[in-house]
Amino acid sequence: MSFVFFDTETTGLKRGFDQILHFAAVRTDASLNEVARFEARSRLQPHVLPHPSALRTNGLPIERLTDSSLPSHYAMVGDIRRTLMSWSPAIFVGFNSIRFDEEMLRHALFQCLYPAYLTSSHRNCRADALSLVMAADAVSPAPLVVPINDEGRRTFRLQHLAAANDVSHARAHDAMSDVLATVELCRLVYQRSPELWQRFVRFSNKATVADFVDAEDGFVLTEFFGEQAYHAPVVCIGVDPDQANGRLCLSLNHDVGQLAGMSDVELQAHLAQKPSPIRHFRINAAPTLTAFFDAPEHMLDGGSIGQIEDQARRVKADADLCTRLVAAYIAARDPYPLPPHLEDRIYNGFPGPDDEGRASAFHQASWPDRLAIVQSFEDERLKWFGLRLMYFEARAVLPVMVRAEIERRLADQLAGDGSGCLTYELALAETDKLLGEGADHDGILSRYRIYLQDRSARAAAFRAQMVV
Amino acid sequence: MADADPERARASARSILREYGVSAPPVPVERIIKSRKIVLQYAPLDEDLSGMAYIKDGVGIIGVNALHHPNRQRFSAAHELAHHMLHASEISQAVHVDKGIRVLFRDDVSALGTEPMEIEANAFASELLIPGDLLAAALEGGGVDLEDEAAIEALARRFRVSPAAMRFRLTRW
Repeated sequence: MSFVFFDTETTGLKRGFDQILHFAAVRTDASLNEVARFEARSRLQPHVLPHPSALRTNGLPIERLTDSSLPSHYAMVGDIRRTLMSWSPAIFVGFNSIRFDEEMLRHALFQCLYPAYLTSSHRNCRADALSLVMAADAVSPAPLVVPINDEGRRTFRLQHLAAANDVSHARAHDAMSDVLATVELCRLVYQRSPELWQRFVRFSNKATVADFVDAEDGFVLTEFFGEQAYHAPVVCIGVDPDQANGRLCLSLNHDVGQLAGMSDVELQAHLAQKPSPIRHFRINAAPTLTAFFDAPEHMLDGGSIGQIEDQARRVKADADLCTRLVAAYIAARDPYPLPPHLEDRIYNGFPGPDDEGRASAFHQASWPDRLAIVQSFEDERLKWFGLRLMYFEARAVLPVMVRAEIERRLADQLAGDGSGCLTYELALAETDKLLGEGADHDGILSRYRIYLQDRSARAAAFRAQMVV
Repeated sequence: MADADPERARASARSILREYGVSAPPVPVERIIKSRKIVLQYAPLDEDLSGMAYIKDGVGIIGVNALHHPNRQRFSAAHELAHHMLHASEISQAVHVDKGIRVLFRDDVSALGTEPMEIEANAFASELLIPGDLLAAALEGGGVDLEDEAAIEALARRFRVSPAAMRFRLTRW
């Protein structure tokens, strides 16, 4: 069908706690010609305090975010979902989106009682333009110019890349401007490095990635750290037992012949090296993969393709060794504790089918009827998100006691220890810090400080009243 | 074109397999395509579009739907390779677009002008991806019950094709 390029501007970087303020998307055909676009904004949710850096970066004064003529967050998310569903199936692309925008979108959908995985289901695929431009820097000839920042280092920031490559970028950190710049950068790669573009498109499909890494004796995995690309010939040794979409690969830069003779303890010590000979990636995160026969020499890290393929085949054929490698690697992994906040638990299990049905019914019901649906959720995440949603959208239909409990809980969060949402104390401290740096050129921060002080005072009075 | 000649198509597939020394499943269809200097392109196509074969500026191109399952992608790629190998004159005049599963397993002559090309391409793809000699080796001289879902799926997985494609191939065994 198409590509859908999208971007979000948010109140901060904390997924699950910060919210989307501005969402923009452009649908293109397979040749990256625009065929449609969509934008949506929302006002601030009452329980969210924007990080002052986000306000400054986005050029958004607090009074604009509290403008009651803007749609509510719930209304915006509903519009986003309807539009993206109507454009599905598609390949969803953003700039640094796999780690950020996709996460913000998933949390927004989930907390508005919609299925979270829109861009990974309905036959959709997803990919990240940042990994494309970083991969582009590793091919020759490079299709893009990578600029140098003020500190003399190469940078892959969107606004700098756009400027260096004569790509129009009307306003940095405006969602639609960012989307359009991303489309243009992708078009440059599409036109100048067609092979790279094909791999990018091909491995946006999770099933294709799974099939490729399982079928191939080996391949090159490219990872990015500190804005540098690192290529390693690897062979897949199995699925990550803790993560269905996770794959574990063995680097072929090491002599693999000795591994079979190691004891379990020796294997664990070997795999604990930094960097580990075991590389991990997710099949649903559009990893950067290259078949050996497509890989230029510099990707093979000095090895000959024949030797590397032989090593890969030996590992692949040794099922016992693969099993032992996975077990040794997993044995050294610390268990993931359950996050303390419900907002952080999006990946701690799917809602059951009954709750999915209730969530669907919620959106079809009228506000007075929604409370009974929310109260019937078995999943405590959905129950809390549903109650909170009703409080924001239609608190008049809530019984007094329910309403008071929600208010108490929200007040506690905003006065908490900062491990969850941004609190009054932290927001004020960060704002003062930025003001102290002379970073307030247009009064956005000073007006935000006044807003915070006012809300903080009212919240303190409210909490004092609750204690009585 | 004239009536379909599926045996010619299968012979062409076997010739390629010999040329590349393919001795074990799965057949590396992507590598074969690229080795023949044909450009393999993935794109998010309409759901009912499985592949395209055309020649642009003298370069052979195969388009594959990036959103499809990899087994289907592989079959589509092999199918489009057939058009390049067997129907170069026809596809040089227009983009040849293949839709859906509709044509995959038809083996009767049709009134539609492109149907014989489809029959040949399907025969080619089936032989390329599931070579007779490799299938025989996998079966170790025995047969397989077409109703045995687990056995069919295991074979399909080994050859990286769909169970439906494997079942169809076995009907000609």
